[in-house]
Amino acid sequence: MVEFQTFGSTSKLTCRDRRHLTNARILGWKGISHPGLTWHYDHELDAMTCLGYSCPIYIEFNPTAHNQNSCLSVHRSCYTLLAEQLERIEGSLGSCNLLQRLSPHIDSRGILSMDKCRKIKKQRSQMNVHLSYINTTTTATTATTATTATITNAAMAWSMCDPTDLPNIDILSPRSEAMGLSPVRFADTESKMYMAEKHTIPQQLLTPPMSPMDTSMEQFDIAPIFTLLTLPVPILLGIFSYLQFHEILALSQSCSVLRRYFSAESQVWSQMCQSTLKFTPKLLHNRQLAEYYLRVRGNERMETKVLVQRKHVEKVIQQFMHSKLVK
Amino acid sequence: MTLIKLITAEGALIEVEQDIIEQSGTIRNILTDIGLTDKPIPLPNVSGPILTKIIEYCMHHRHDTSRRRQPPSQPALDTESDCRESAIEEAIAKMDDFDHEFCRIDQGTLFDLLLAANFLDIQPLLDLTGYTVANMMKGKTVQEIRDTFHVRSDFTPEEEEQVMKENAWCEN
Repeated sequence: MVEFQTFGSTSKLTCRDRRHLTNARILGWKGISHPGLTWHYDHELDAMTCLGYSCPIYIEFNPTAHNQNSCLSVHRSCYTLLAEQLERIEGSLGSCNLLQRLSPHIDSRGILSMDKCRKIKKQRSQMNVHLSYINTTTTATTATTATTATITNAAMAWSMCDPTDLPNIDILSPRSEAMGLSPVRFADTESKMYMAEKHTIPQQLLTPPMSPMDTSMEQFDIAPIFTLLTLPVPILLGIFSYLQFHEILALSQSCSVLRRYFSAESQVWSQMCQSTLKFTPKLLHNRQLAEYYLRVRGNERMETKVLVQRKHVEKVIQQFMHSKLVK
Repeated sequence: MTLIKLITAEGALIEVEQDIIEQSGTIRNILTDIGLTDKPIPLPNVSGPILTKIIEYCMHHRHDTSRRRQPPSQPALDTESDCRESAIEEAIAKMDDFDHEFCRIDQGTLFDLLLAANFLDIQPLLDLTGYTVANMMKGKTVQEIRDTFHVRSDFTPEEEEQVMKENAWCEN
């Protein structure tokens, strides 16, 4: 089992984070492979133990490779939001640091335990565990969409949750829980989310896609599939067309890729002129194009002038080219 | 009410009303080419959650025809208003509370939406998501941009200095 080291002082997790992690832990306890948390069934302890948490793990999450009924309700935004929440609280952290921050909540046996994580209902007679939505705008996605855009397969109903949207889970007593079948359903969609007996939990659910057990920690630093730098050029151009000069300058200083992208020799400037100003002064050098763009862009008066006089400018250029050819 | 069947990247089948999904230029073109069909249209680049989110957007704007792109058969107006610049300003002006709330999502989802909007050719959504990403860059220092977009600085101190020198040309 991976040993977690405790870094920093006491945790400042909010109630929202605690609820999210509690729910995540419970899902994991029930054998549901969780895109953000790595779980392992410990036979000695007869418990699901949390091996680690890393935000980028979610990209390895492939619903088709798992029991879809048990995994589809969780969206990766949960974990990114949690990471962002932690980062806001504790400053800028990488994913490893996030793991470290969570380590105080993981006990010596490797079990992620949060205060008051269990709410035992003594008078429960049925085995059913109900999930009730906390209704927010984001969570309403599925329900709203389902009214008109019919999602035909109820079990495939998606929900876009963030940690606050995760359902409240009423937990059975440990004894009842150990007894077996625990169908869980959303109150509004009736879609069954989980229906696995503890002793028949599929092995694949117990084996997360990435585990610190069989991989180095460096692998948890996987970048998201799509980052700013991997977006297609036309989309990037569309984004950059909203920016002013000083923002482009800051971008160009952030890394070598963007430096090349915005260098004076880059072809991007002619495309920026074309996409943003609908105008490319064809005779100019790339560097001059860049200067042109940066001079005009963000200068309302000049932009208007360019837009209005575009045709005149093009005409002048054409005449200039023509005269050059004649000579 | 005609329902169009769509299959997401994971194989989920989602049915959506034709007038809603026809805000997508890609779907509109497919339907124009093959006609109305019972066969599901595969969307290999769009995951279920993202498609659901896009449908939510399209449902909200289903009656708002002013946002939609003109059919290619109509000649573009040769006036100032047809410029992208004006179109962008117009698009920004039309963004409502729903749009702003719609984009309050994590970065990964935002990029997924951006790519899906590009693939499905939903120009207003592309504008909206692009504008949202651009807003995330505005007013930020170099380091803040790196932190926000998880960009690793691969400059040595010497290179960083060199970058500053190289960029001096555009500060004049």
